[in-house]
Amino acid sequence: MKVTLESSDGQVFTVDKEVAELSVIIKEMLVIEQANQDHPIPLLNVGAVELAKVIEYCEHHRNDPTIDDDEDYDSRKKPIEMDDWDKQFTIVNKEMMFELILAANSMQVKPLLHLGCRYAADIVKRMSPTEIRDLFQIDDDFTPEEQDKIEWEKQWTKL
Amino acid sequence: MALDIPEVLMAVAQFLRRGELAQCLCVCKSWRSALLFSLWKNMTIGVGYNRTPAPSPSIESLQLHGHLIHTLMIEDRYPGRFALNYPKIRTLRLYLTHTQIQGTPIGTASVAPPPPPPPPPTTPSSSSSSSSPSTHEIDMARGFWQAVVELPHLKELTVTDTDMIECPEEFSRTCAKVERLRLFRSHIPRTSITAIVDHGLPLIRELRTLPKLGGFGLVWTDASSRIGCLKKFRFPLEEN
Repeated sequence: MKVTLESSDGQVFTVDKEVAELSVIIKEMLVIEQANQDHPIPLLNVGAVELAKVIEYCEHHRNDPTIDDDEDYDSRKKPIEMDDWDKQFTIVNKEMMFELILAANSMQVKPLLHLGCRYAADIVKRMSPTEIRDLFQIDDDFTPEEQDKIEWEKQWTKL
Repeated sequence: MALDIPEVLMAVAQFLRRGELAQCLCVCKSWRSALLFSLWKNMTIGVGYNRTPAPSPSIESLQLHGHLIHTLMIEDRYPGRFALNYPKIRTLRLYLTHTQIQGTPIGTASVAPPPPPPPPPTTPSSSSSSSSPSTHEIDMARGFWQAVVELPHLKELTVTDTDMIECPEEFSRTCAKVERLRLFRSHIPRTSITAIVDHGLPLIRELRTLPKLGGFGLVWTDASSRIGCLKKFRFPLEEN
């Protein structure tokens, strides 16, 4: 069975239902709108370029076992292994990857979100707060007093 | 931008180590508020010996953020030093807290018992390398466990390389509250074992012990019918 998805800029994609269902959001929509399949499912936050990439990811991972996402209090979850295909997939520019994270978050494609967050962590972990602010165009909104307090407070994490 | 979304930032945080997280906390207020919980939810405090010392937050920081802690590991001879309010704690792990459990206990101030009276003059100088704990130490240990019993969300208790002082009542009541109980390489007095068996483990889902618990296995085996609905039950065979 096929489903059609429509990106925010109006491009329509036709994919297998099981591929689309890697997105929790689409899966839920399909349950609700079982009968009404004439119209494409609109994805208002996802552009065509990103949607194509998300679909590429989902096509490749269509047969993966689903991740049990229960928030178990014992949080020693096994990290998902990245295979070669995933590594290849993440060789894109930063902007594209952050757009993909956004898309994966809004569509709730959990494994892709996981992959993207790992990528983002690899970027920010090597940066100072100032460099992070520059990259993401964030304003430093701490007062000098707050900054001092934070510095003092995080001393213990440095060891 | 993707990282403006707090949930995404929190998902990123799971791949960051503590020092890296601390850097990110300094970026701006919204990053700080999204990431503070990630930094604090699993906290190791104290200076365990025979291990790399675990850098601990200051007591002031603990007071400020203790309410964020879900998993608390104490690697310290004197866990009572970190006696603060940890209302959300779900998992408590004690490492290397040998012999003396001193100071005020973990828990809220209202839960903590009054400081014990000084040992009577007749008691020979206590706490120095004696194998039998003094009444002072027993009171301290009791206070510690009394506070732990009161922690409303406690679900897991792990005790590793720890000499337990006799306070069977309080310790067994703690055990009866938890879903996961792990006792590794610790000396548990026989009276405490008997008390655990008497109280039962009504909520237990997982029980693990490691060897060096002489006689322990037999006690458990006898009482297995009272242990409750065990989903995972690992027990090493007695080696002797």
